[in-house]
Amino acid sequence: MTGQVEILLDTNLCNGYGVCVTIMPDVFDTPAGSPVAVLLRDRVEADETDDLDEAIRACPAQALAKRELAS
Amino acid sequence: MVIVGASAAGLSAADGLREGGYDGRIVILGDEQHEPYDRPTLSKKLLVSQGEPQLHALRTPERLEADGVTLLLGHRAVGLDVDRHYVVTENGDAVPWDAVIITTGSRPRTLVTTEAETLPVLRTPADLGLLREAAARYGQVTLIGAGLIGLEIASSLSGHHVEVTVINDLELPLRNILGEPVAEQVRELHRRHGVDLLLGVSVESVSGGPGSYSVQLSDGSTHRTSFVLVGIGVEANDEWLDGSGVALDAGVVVDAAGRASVPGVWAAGDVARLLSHPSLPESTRVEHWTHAIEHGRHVGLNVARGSHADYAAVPYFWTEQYGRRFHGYGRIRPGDTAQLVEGALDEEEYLVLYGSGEKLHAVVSCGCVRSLRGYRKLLERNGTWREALDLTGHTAPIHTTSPPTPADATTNVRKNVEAS
Ligand SMILES: Cc1cc2nc3c(=O)[nH]c(=O)nc-3n(C[C@H](O)[C@H](O)[C@H](O)COP(=O)(O)OP(=O)(O)OC[C@H]3O[C@@H](n4cnc5c(N)ncnc54)[C@H](O)[C@@H]3O)c2cc1C
Ligand code: SF4
Repeated sequence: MTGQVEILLDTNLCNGYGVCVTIMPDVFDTPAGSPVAVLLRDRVEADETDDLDEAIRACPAQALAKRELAS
Repeated sequence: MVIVGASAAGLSAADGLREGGYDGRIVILGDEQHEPYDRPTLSKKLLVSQGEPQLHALRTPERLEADGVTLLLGHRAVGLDVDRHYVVTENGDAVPWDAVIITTGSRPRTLVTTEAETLPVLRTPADLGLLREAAARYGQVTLIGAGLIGLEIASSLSGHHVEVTVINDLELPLRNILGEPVAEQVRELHRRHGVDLLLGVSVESVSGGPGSYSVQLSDGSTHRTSFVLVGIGVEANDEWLDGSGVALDAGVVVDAAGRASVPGVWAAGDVARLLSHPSLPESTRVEHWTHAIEHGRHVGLNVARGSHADYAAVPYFWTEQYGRRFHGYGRIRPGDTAQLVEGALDEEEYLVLYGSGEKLHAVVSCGCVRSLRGYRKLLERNGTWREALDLTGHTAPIHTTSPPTPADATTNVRKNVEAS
């Protein structure tokens, strides 16, 4: 296990509410004018997965998912 | 395990049960016919989307199946037998449980016209359909109540060629939630977008019907409008538990772990009245989306693990008004000092802290989403005002809020109408 996890953002579902940004501002952003969130990086480390899980749960649009990366 | 209520809190409770290692049967009863959906979009995007509104499903059938969750839609619970451990449904079924998690949420308070017609509200897809149709047909909507949902509706519709009036008995709507300086900005935002705000007046009575209503106001005037929608707060869906032995107090009373007064019975989300919580001064129901998710999951974990861990997530809400996104963590209290620490109030982005003495109570931002994490972490560990200021580098207070009234806008409106 590398412990890295890939973040998947479905921009067809995202409503740009920014709930995820309040949880992980170093991963998600909702730039002014953008109707959807953008990923600042597409991986998180093992010690960030609790925050990522919280963001996935909190997203009202169910636009976030993750994929464990095999080592 | 049985979960009653198939929305944010109920589905998250099922997730918590699985995450906590429970591998038995999970049944979720829900009284709506729709697959569980994202409720907050009803007052935002879906209100003004083109064509048939597409509900966002919260779970795919595949995921429910993979999680081993049986979802029984159209099954309204009408009673709870705490001795024999059954949930009784309106179809006459008795669904057995070892533990039951109550997540029946809340419903809007209603107002009735002098002709005994219940006025429309916004909570479900059917309500949404009615409002969209009326907005398109009449091009005119009057909202009674200026809570988060009422004002979201006003902001969504007024940008789409609908003439919107908002009536509220408070001079400054949302002051309890956003704090005075931010609430003032939101009020100005609505004025600037042409919403007609009738503030500081309450509704005495409403008569008429769709196409032609008369609203009698406390200042003696009459407001005429084609369509009225009521958004005067919500009440808990707990009446089906009357007489069950489960303690109720405008909601199912739960301890910090989520346990109701009867062993084996738990509750989460909008329906639960939290007896104690580190961020909340008194027992309260929290009526926000991510609370329903986190509280539901927390209770599911406790049930699965046989544990009694306290729930302590900092209350959080967001709202969208005219494309601006407001986010808040914590709870503003009467007499709190407000301090602007980022941006400027008359600009598009700003962030305000609320607290008193050494205590930080809440943070509300317009647009400054990226800064929230630091303050939220502070609120989580009960950090001080000084530590909050250290995050920003500011010092002088800009604004002091006067104590908000404990009852929100809506109660007076209601009393008046009922009395009439
Ligand atoms: C239009 C609108 C916009 C909103 N926007 C926001 C927002 O922007 N931000 C935010 O934080 N919050 C928002 N909210 C609030 C948020 O939607 C609620 O806090 C959240 O839905 C609560 O989830 P819940 O699962 O506890 O209850 P609910 O979503 O109310 O779900 C309870 C479910 O139980 C069902 N039920 C009730 N009684 C029974 C019974 N006897 N038997 C079986 N089933 C039953 C109900 O039909 C419902 O499906 C909004 C709410 C509305 C209505
Ligand atoms: S929380 Fe979900 S809907 Fe909101 S911006 Fe993030 S991904 Fe998009």
